[in-house]
This record gives sequence, C-alpha cells and structure tokens, in this order.
Amino acid sequence: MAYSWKFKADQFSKTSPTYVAYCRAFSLLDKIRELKAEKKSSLEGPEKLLGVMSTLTEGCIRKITKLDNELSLNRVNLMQRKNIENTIRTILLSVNILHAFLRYIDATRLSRNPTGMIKPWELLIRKYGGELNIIIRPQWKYNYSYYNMVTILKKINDIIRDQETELELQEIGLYFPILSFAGLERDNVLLHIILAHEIGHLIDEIRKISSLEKHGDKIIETLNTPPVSDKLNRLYDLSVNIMKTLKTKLQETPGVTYELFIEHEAKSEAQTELVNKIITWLEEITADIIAVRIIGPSFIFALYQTQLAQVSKMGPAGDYPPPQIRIENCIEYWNTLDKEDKFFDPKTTDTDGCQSIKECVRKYLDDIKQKETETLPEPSVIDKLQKERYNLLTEILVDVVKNPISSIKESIARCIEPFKLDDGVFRLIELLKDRITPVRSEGKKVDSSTRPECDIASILNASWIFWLTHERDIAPGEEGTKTEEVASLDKLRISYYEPLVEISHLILKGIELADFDKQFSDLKQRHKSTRNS
Amino acid sequence: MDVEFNNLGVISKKEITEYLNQKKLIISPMLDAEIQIGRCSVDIRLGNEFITTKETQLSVLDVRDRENLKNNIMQYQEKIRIGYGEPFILHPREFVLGASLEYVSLPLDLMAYVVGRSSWGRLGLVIATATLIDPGFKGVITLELANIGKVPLKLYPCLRIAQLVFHKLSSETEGYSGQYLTSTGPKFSEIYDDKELPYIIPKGKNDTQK
Repeated sequence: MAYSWKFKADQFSKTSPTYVAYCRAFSLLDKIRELKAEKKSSLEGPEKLLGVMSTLTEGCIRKITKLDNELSLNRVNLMQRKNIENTIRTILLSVNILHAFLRYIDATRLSRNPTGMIKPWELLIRKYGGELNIIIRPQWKYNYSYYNMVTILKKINDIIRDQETELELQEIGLYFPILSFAGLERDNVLLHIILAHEIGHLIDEIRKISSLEKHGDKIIETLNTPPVSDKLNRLYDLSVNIMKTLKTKLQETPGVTYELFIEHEAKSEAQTELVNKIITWLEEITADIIAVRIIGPSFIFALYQTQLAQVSKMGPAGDYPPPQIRIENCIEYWNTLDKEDKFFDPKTTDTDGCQSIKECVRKYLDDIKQKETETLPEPSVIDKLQKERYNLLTEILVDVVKNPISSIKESIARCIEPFKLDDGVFRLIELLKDRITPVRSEGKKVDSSTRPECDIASILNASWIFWLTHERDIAPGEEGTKTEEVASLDKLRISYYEPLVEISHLILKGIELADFDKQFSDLKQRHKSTRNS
Repeated sequence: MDVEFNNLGVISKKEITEYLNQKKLIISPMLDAEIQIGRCSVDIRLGNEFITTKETQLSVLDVRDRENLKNNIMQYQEKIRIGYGEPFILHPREFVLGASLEYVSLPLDLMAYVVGRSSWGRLGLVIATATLIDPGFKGVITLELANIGKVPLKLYPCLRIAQLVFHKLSSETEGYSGQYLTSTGPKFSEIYDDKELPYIIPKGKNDTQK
C-alpha cells in the first residue's frame, strides 16, 4: 500500500536536500506500515519500536515542512539559509538511520535467524538485565556488537524536538538493545556464545559497573605513581620521537618553534589516546568478565576461536585490549571462580570432564605464547618505534586497569549470580556422544509445569566441551588410531568440518526442541488452569 | 535390566514404554506421553521446517544427469521455517517435505513404519509414501506431505500428524548409516548419491548435449 505523499515533488530540484529528505521520510513511513501489516516479526518489542519510529518519522516530516517554509521566506539571509539547509541534511541523516533500524527489525524474522536461538538468548538477557525489549539480528559485517537504540532515537528527537515522540520514547524505557552477530556464522552455534560478551556490555551499561566516575580516582592515582608515571613520561618521549622521525622522513626542516609544537601535539595526542583506551579497556574487560560469569568456560573457547587470527598481531588493534590479554584475563577469572564459587566440585561433577577443560585451557595458553614468540620479518625504524610505543602503552594500560578491574570483579560478584557447570552439562555431553539432540529437559522425571527452561548456557557449554574433548582429538598422532584416515591436510580439514557442522545442527535442534517444549507446556498449563477456573 | 521379548512383530504400549524408559528408544521431546503413546504406536508431531520446490523454474529432475540433478535440487528448493502457532498452508495437489518435531533414535533391534493418522487422511492429507525407518536411525523423520483433497489445509507445528509403529527384529542388525542420518530438518532427496546409478543408467552420447 503506497502512502499518500503530501508534498508537491515538482516544487523541488531533485537534488535538493529537502526533496531527498521528504522522499526518504515518506518511503520510510510506507515501509513501516507494510511491516506492521505483515507482522513479520513475532516479537512484541519490535512492534512497539515500529510505533515510535513511525511517530518520529512523522515528526521529521513536520520539521522538514517547517524548515522549508522558513526557506521560502524572502527575509532569510544567506547565512540563515545555509543553517536551515544543514539542519535538513541532519534530519535526512536521521531518517537514513531509521531506515537502517527498519532493516534490523526485518532481520529478526525467523527465517533469517537460527531456529530457537533468539528466545533462549532473550531469557538469558532478562535473567540478568531485567524486562527488556531486544533485537537480535544477523549482520553482513563480520562482527558481534551491541548498542542501545533508545540513545540514538533520543538523539534524533533532540534534533526535531517532537513532544509526541518523547512521550512514546518514555514508554519504551531506557534500554532497547540491539545485539548483532556475524551473519556468516549464522548456523555456527558454537560461536554465538560471543553474544555473551555483548550482553556483558548491556549489563555493564545498566548497572554502571565500569563507569569512569566510579574508577576515575584510582586511575589518576595509578597514573601519578611510579613506575606507571615513569612509563608514561617514556611514552610521551616516544610519541614525540616518532613524530619527529616521521617529519624528518618527509624531509621537512624542523625549526625550534616547530619542535615545540610537535612536542605539544604529540603529548596531547598521546593523552587523548590513553584516556580513550582506558575507557575502552575497562568496558571490554568488564564485558568479558561478565560473559565468563554468566555463561561459563565456553565463552573463553569461543573468544579464542574468534580472536585466533589476531593473536599473533603485535600492532595496535584499535582501542581494544589485545586478544591474548583478554583471553588470559578470562582464564584467570575463570580459575578464581573455580575455587571461590565451587565452579567444579569434584564430588558432584564428572572430574574427567573438568580435567579435559583445564587441559584445553592450558593448550590455549601455550598456543598464545607460541604465537607471541613467532619470528616476524625485520621491522623498519618507524615500525620498531611504533612497536616499542605500543608495548609500553599496553604495559601502562595493564597497570592502570589492574585496580579498577579487581573492584569491578567484586561488584560483579555482588550483583551477578554465576553460571553453574552442573552434572546436567555432562549428561548433555553424553547425549551428544550418541548423536542425540541435547534437549535440556529430556530424561528428567519432572512435572511438566516445573520443567526447567531451555538453558542455553548449559547446552552451549556441553557442546563446546564435547567438541574440544571428543571431536577435536582426531588429529593425527594424538589418538594414534585415526592417523591413516587423516593423513592429508584436506582430509584432516574435512574430518574437523563435518562433525562440527553436525554438532551445530544437533545443538540448534536441541535448543529449538527445548523452546517448543517450554511453549507447549506453558500453553497446556494455562489451558488447564482456565478450564479449572 | 535389559528388555527381553520372546515375541517378535509389532510391539505394544507396554514394551514401547519399556524401551523409552531404558533410553534404548529415544523420542525427543515427548511433549505429552499420555496422549502420544497409543496401544501399539507413538504419535509424532509436525515440525516447523518445510521444503518446497520452485516448480515454475525447474524443467525436469533426471536421475541420469547426476551433477545437474544435485544442482537443480539445491537451486530450486526453498526452506520455509515457521514459528510456534503459525500456520503452513498446504494447497490442493501441492507436495512439500515436512519433518517430525521429534528427534528419533531407534535401537538396533527395532525398525519402524511411519503411518498417517486417519483423522488427517479423512481431510485429504497424505503423510508419507516411503515409510520405513531402519534400525539404528537417528534424526528427525522427513514426511512427504501431499494434499489430495479439494480445499487448502492449514498445518501448525506440534500437531500430531503421523504415528510410528515399531517392529521387533529377530536379531540385532547393523545400524543405519545412510545419507539421512542425524538429520535435524526435512531433507530433500539425495538420490544422486546412490552408488549404483552410474551403471544402472549409464550416460548416453546424447546426454552430454543437455
């Protein structure tokens, strides 16, 4: 159904921002209406969001009309005209962002997502983050990410200042998280566990665990105390040195004044970089810790798999902490949980299983160290200086975040209940060994009303442990029995790939069946109680 | 304690329950055992995945031309997934592949037949044509659904759509190891993998021009 466009298209030049903004806004309204009518998404949250987006778009159209009327007045001078046009361009940008959001909602359709995965993730998020509307969607970019849609919608509303939208936004609440996973790994369920890190960001934002306001004093204190303060001075010197070397390379003649300028610039750049990195490091490490806490050791394995390519990379990886530091930190935290929270109680759990996880973790650590010591080609002067600077900066950051991280761990321990690797996980491993779908509730003689909910953490942990301890051990030489079968590399790859795909399908089916099981028993219970009353 | 039966043939409710309790036979999830386990059969439910064929673009499926057959099957099939409580509409004369909701694992001394429920048969729904399940099979059961009635039928996931009748074998046999093992959704035909095809229907000279 086409929306009745209420503007005279002939009045505008086809390239004018007003014309483009009108077209984009009206087509957005059309699409929202279509999506509402089709009810493509079975979730409640997106429908609410569609309402807000519709009001917001209408607000944008009203604002464009108002600005366009102002433009048509004769008394508007050139400066004012430019300002108005810029505002229209900003609205156009906002409308384009809303178009992108619409695509995200569209992407929540069942056919685009692994069956049954969304509901268990929602359950997990609600367990730790409270009653929230959530969008989980695949994205083309190979990335896993989180952001809060409400923040962006509010920013858009700040531009148009629409009261109606403001009221609707208040109804949505403070958070409407969008969690994205790499579309390419849609069916690779074992990597979906990286979403736990993104949930970590959400929990951190809600509970303000890593906020700089809480940890700022400690950070400043560390920065001003030796040895960190000495390292910091060395970092500034190095930054200046790098800049000077670069300038010399460009054959520019440095004067005294210019030198001072370079010094000032390099120092201030290094300071900004340091502050940004401290914030990101705190946020990322906090999210990692929360992920290990809520999902268990399988997060470490998934993190390792996704970061594998970056482990050997010694250069700066954006503002993020290097993968080896993240993985080591997770392992360290998991080990403390092991002792303090009785993560593995040998009396109640399968000790062989625990032992094999520990062995795997040790193997991972060895792998990381080996990659670190790998010889790299002879670097240039600038590369050497950059590497030295990067290593120094990493050292400083490790020192700086140490204190805040330990208090962050304490606050996480206070407010987030840890995931228990109970005997259920090991029972699920047994099912996988027999190529049976790991349905959580299967085999437990419980009343259907008290049947445990689909526990995604247990299923994914079981699958990881199974994969690491039973399926991966087919490499030549390790078992000694399958050496002939996997003599060539191609055969080895195939022998890894096929069981992994099979396991992924089994896990997906298991999760889906558990989800159906839950919905069925809920409805049956509701039906019974209605009949009784 | 092991299951011991002197009589061979179709097994009854008591024996089915015994097999299920001993985890020799697995039907997962059994949403409502009381309703599903009948006197000599177990009702299975409809899953939420379907495979339809884009017939309008497909000229022919010829088993002789194995490469093209495989490509055609991959290219012209479409997987549809629906949510709990949502309908799948099967029109008259339409043929689709569905699957059981349950993941089934048979022991080595049992085989099973998939049989339609008469309640559905009376509405014009044919459930399965190839109905035998081998001992040792693990996976969901692909159902060949066809509406031979005159009105469209709305099918919903979790509806009890077919039943399994189990037969006891005279002795344990080798487990099923075919291409449909551990399937988790409906699977289209993999007839191109039949090993005897090249010598049963050898390629003629004219075939290469196709």
